[in-house]
Amino acid sequence: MPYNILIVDDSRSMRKVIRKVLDLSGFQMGECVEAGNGREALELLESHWIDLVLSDIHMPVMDGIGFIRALRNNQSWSDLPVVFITTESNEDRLQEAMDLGAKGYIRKPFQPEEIRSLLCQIMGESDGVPRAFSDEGCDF
Amino acid sequence: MDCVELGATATPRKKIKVLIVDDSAIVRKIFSQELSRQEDIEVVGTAPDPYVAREKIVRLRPDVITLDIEMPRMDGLSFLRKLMKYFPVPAVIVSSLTPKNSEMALEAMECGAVEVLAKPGGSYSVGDMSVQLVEKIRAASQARLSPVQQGGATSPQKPGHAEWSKALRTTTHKIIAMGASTGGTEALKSVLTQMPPTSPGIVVVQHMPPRFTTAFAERLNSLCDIEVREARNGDSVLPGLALVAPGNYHMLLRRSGGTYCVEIKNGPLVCHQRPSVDVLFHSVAQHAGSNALGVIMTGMGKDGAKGLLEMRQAGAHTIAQDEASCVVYGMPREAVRCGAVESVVSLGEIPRTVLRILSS
Amino acid sequence: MGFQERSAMKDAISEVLETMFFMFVDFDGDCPGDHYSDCESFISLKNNKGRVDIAFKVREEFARMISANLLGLDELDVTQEDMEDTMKEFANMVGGNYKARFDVNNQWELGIPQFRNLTGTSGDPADAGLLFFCFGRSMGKVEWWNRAC
Repeated sequence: MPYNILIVDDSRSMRKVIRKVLDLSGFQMGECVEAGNGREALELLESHWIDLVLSDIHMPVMDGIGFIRALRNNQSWSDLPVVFITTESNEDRLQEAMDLGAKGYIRKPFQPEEIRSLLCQIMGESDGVPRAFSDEGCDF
Repeated sequence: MDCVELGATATPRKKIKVLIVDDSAIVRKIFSQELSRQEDIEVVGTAPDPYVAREKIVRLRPDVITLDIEMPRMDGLSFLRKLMKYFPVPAVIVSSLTPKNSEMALEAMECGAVEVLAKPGGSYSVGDMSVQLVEKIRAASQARLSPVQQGGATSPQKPGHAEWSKALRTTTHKIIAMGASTGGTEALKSVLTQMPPTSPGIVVVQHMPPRFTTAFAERLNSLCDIEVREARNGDSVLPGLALVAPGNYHMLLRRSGGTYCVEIKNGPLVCHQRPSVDVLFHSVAQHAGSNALGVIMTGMGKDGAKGLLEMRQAGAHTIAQDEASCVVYGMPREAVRCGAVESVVSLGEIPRTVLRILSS
Repeated sequence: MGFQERSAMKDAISEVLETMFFMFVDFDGDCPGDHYSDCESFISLKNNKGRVDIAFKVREEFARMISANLLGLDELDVTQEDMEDTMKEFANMVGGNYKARFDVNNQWELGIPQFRNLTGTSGDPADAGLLFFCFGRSMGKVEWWNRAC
């Protein structure tokens, strides 16, 4: 059951790392597109049907909070799952992200396993949700 | 624009490619079986959930999908909204006859689905459904997904109450009869939301299964200035009220003393439909003559054309929705072709045209 | 810089390098003085009273190594762009991690990291920063300053 992923981070390296972690964790990835900030992400969403967004918070042009707020104000994406992967440590800001409907957050630096287990929780084995991870398991 | 041209000539057509999206294996099997009997339809695939459906839609490019609105893995409505955004394809909503699902089906029409089909159950057999299924798939395959000037929101200007009340001062004895099919729920919404409480009484036939018509009338009632309800036998046709024919019954206009009322009755399908627009229009021509105004709107087939012609011959004014604003330009075209139509106007112009005719 | 701040910075660098760059560094080595750097990434922490600027001045060898480790590439395949990007992300993560260690009241904002190439030896006195070593070899130096608004 492949899922289409959008990775939003102003660091190209970070986007590559996240993509790699997903690959190695056995995540069933369909299309994977990348954006450098929230504005670019919104533009990409116009033409790509995305199932899950992994986004940074600190970004130029439009940050992760502005981005998720824009998503929630658009009926097409109001239920799009968003996970933040961020250096943000400000609890108020992380809470704000959660209040805006983020599915969770992971603090950088992260262990690959943290991403896998959070995504398992969100898109994984739970009832009624198609499995997001292959049976071969992960390869960290 | 994703629109299928409606060819006037009967050239040998390509088969309609259908994808069946339903979590029930039995439904997928029955649908596949029933549809494969049709020469003009080919089932290119089936999908048990929206994720598989998406993959197959991208790969197989179906002309029409049937979509179960209650699927476990993703809310059918969000799926439909996304589908219409990224891979617009005419969708026939398949839904069971519960009030909640009827509402969801209506919402699906607002999201861009073009037809709704009731799942078999009770006295409604698989056989009945098959006929409907094939009809609706054919209609959906003709649908243009972005008709010009869709919905009332984009219509040029809503006539003000002052204009209406001036026009309607002496029109209490008038009635308006409307008929629509594919794409009609949204088209009727667009017109009826612009009618003022002083409007003449309105009688409406929209081809839809029972229960859905109930939900449709309730939905319109919540949106309109006029009162809208599903018609019951004997209901009077009054100013500021629109009566929607209940699914699976015909609705006829009758005279009762100085007023009009409706008769709701069983009977054979007319033009494959029950309620049938022709049945309503015929009765309106007989009983209201030149006091009536007939409107034929978007939809597949010929239902209403003959009845509208009778209305015109009895002295009624007649309006047809134009091709560009129709989801399927079938019924209005047929009406125009047989000479039943006085004015052809876009969806957004219908209320204004009604106003103009009533005030002249 | 006070003892606490130096210690927080050491912990932040170690944690980030170990977790995401598969690298271990220590902070006791030979007398620094003339640290040589090829490039620098820096990041600011701001609050309403002032800001802290943090600069990471490193050898290309270090930038290349952490880029290769982060991206899973061979060191020879690491491009200049990879290094710039990785160095910025390194600054971002260390900055965020450092901030988290003292900013209990959430008053500080992390800025956007930047990068530039350097030539030659750092002229700053050694005690303005902290040198870090890998296998006894100095790899880079972090300098940070508190500035009033």
